[in-house]
Amino acid sequence: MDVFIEFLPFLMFAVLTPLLFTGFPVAFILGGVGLAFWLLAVALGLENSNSFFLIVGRIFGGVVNKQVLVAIPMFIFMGTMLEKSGVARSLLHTLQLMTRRIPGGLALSVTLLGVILAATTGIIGASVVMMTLLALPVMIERGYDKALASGTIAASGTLGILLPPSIMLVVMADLLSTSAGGLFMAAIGPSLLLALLYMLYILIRTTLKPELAPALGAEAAKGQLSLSVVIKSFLPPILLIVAVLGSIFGGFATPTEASGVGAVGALILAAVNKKLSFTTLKNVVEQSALTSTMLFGLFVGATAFSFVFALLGGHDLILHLLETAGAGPWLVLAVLMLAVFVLGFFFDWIEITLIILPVFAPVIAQLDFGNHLIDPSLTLSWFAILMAVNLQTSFLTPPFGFALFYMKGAAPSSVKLTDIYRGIIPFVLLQLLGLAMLLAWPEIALWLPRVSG
Amino acid sequence: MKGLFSFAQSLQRISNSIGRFSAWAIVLLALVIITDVVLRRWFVIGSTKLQEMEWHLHGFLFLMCLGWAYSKNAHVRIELVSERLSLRTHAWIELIGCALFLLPYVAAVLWFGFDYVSYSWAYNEASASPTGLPDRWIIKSAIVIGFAMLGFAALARLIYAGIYLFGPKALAEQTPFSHTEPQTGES
Amino acid sequence: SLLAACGNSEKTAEQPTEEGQKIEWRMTSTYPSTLIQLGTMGKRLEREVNKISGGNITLKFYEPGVIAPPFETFDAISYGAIEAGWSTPGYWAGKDPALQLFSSVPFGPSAPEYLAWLDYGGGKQLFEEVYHKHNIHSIICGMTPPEASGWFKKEITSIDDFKGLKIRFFGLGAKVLEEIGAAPQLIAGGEIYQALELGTIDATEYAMPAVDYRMGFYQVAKHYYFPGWHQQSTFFELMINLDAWNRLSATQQAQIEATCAANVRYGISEGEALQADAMASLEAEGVHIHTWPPEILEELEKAWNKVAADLSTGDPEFARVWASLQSFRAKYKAWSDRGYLKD
Ligand code: NA
Ligand code: NA
Repeated sequence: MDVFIEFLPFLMFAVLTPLLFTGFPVAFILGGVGLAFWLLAVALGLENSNSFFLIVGRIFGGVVNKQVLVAIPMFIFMGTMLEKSGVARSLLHTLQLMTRRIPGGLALSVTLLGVILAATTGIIGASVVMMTLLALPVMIERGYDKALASGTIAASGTLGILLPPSIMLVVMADLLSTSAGGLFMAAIGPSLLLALLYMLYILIRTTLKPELAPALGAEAAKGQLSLSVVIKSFLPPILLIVAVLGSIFGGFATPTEASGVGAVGALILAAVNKKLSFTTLKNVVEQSALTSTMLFGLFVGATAFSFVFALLGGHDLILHLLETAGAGPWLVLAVLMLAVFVLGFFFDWIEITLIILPVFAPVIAQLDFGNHLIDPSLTLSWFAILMAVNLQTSFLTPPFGFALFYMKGAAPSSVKLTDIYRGIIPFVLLQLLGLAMLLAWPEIALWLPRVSG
Repeated sequence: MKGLFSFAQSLQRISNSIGRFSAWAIVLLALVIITDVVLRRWFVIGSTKLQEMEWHLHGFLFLMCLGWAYSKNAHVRIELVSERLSLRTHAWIELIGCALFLLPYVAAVLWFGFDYVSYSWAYNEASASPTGLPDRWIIKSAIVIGFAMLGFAALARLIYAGIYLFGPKALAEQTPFSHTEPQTGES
Repeated sequence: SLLAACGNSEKTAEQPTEEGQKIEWRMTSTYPSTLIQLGTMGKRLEREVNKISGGNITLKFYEPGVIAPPFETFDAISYGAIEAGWSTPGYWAGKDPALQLFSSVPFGPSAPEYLAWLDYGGGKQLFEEVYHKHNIHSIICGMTPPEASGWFKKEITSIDDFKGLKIRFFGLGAKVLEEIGAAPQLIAGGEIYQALELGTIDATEYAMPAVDYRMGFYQVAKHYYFPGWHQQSTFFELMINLDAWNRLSATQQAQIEATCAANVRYGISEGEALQADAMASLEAEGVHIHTWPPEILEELEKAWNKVAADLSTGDPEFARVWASLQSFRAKYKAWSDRGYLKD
């Protein structure tokens, strides 16, 4: 019986995983399984009969009363509006015309778009959903392989959580008692490295197998690319990007508020393009409300599951397993990295950081890697960035990759979760490659903070 | 059976219209943000209240749409296995899922949520910031109302599944289970 | 003793636990355990109460958000969803405005005076009266020295420089700044640094120098102001569900109270010791450390008195606590003006 109680948290996953494949909405299964295990715990006398009260508080305090989450509905609205008003389509079409001699040109452009979005926001849900809305339908229409298309979007969409500004780095800085500004600096190199790895992969893959990313037919391409076409399709989105970025860097708005600037900007663009009828507006409003509800529905269900997991002592169980692993700086580092990666299959980043960092922060601060680091005072930053890349990966790893769910929620129904799972595997491997490079060459992260003092 | 069917329809209609109406909060949200940005930059007016209004609208938006989104099949499903199953099995999964997972979860949130809102109402809760918005019970009530709407949609769905599985053929064909539904709520 | 005289004023139907019966409570924190003082005092409480009680009392520290989001702590303890919480009363202004006065008060007392009011000036009775209405028993369980006034991108030379100043500020101090024409902003914790860097805001208040140094604000704003008029000393608290508290044995209650008393003392000694090194490091980074000119402080205090009067009109409980604190301070002044050396 005691063993049963001790492993109750793990049993939650054993029950959850098969249920997910019934096809009943993920959010509701998460909530239901959380409740069921809580009731079991009350029946076993492990839990008081009032504690589920906190679920309401977690929905309010953790999802509703969160200023930064405001960016999600706004970026979704902006993405939907750009899609329905045809702005996105014409941009991506022109991009494809321009890059038609480069294999996988459209996928490469999407990756670049991902980097730009990543620099404006730290909310990955927003950028993944927006890029899915903008680019996925066009890529599929052009005959791109669904797996390659969805992998590209999901991976470059999650760069947002790594490339500053990043909420994740701020939370980590807080928990590690180090400077957020310093971590921002250290994250730039690795983010660009990852973007580069994605692009190299796309380039190599599509060169070897051109049918994954068919180039435009000679007729479709002929004579369409004139200066006026380029200007006409580039100007509106560039204006919008300038408005969003400009409002941030001009000191008008925080990144959260800039999402609102983007939403209103998209509205104005549609109006100027004479695409803004009441029907279109109503469509966009309803579609974007549904998409953001899908996303927050996941939060609302997942909060019950992770709450009950914590109540039942799941965090202690994980820490206990980690602590038995042994000492030595490289071993500690390896075990933590492995743990974060494995936890990433099931948990989201905030959960993982809260389990691991407060307990291991003092240990990490003491780690000594000899002369592997040029400036040993940056050990903590190096560790934080390794962990950040690892956490970014957790968005992409099945079964519980939130980026994959966001994408599924916003994708055309012809794109199956199977396509998305299939498409993400090479990108997860690229993430691991990036992680290995960061382990081998800490300077990728630390050079910038070191020279800028 | 016919009465049950129209009862389910009414439940769904209520939850759908509340969702459709609340969806417009997204436009309001964009306008509030722009107002805040403009006021701060050019008129330098303290805007704590506007900034709090932003997350109020975001919360209101997704809470009120929970039920409607379910009826429109917009919540994420993992259909790796289930896409190979028959329509009847789909209806069974939905029936059991609503009865064992969704409705109990909704009931628990409503049960505790009612106390949660009563607390806020009883001590006339305001923002933790003295420059913020009063009357926290309003946005907290949105949790209860939103989940009630999700409950409506789930109950309707449960009835439809029951009718599809056990009801007369003519009625069964009018339920959403008689054909494969499009996902993501495309209209 | 004093400890025995307070705390257990009302009798309830609850049976106290048997002597020696172990309790294991969850204590959810509003600060991460690694945050200097604000979090580490909570961790110290967890450690020490276990030792002092010989393993009889366990207050298991939970990081913010693991069980309860920070601002949900109050309701959860009041309802009995969890037994205990680590926080500061100032967090609960929205639940009961009077509680702000037990956290820190603009132009309020420094540590010895604040403690004197609490222990011997009627503060504690009021504190418990307010909390017991909400089915919570709270114990002052930590204290920190003054905070800094904050980081400013431009030097402030007169009260007019506050007009239109976009400053990130929280609590009663924000209300004061609004009164003198500044525009207090709510910026999410994660976005403060960037907002300050890019000029979305002109200034921000944060914490004491030791914490501020780590946040790296000196990289983006060079003017650092003292004294922290809005927060001369700050109380932290251990909140306990009232029914759970009443079930404790007298020994267990005394053990918790003794641990908290020691925690207050360490909060002050540690807080006073920590700041000097941080100040030196900040100066080495080229930060201009300023002291407010007296005329600016006077204007701010005038504004605060108006805010306090307004709040008192709006809330009888706030008025009662404010009157108690004010009358204690008026009397105390006869002593403090003469008892201490002035430099
Ligand atoms: Na970012
Ligand atoms: Na994952």
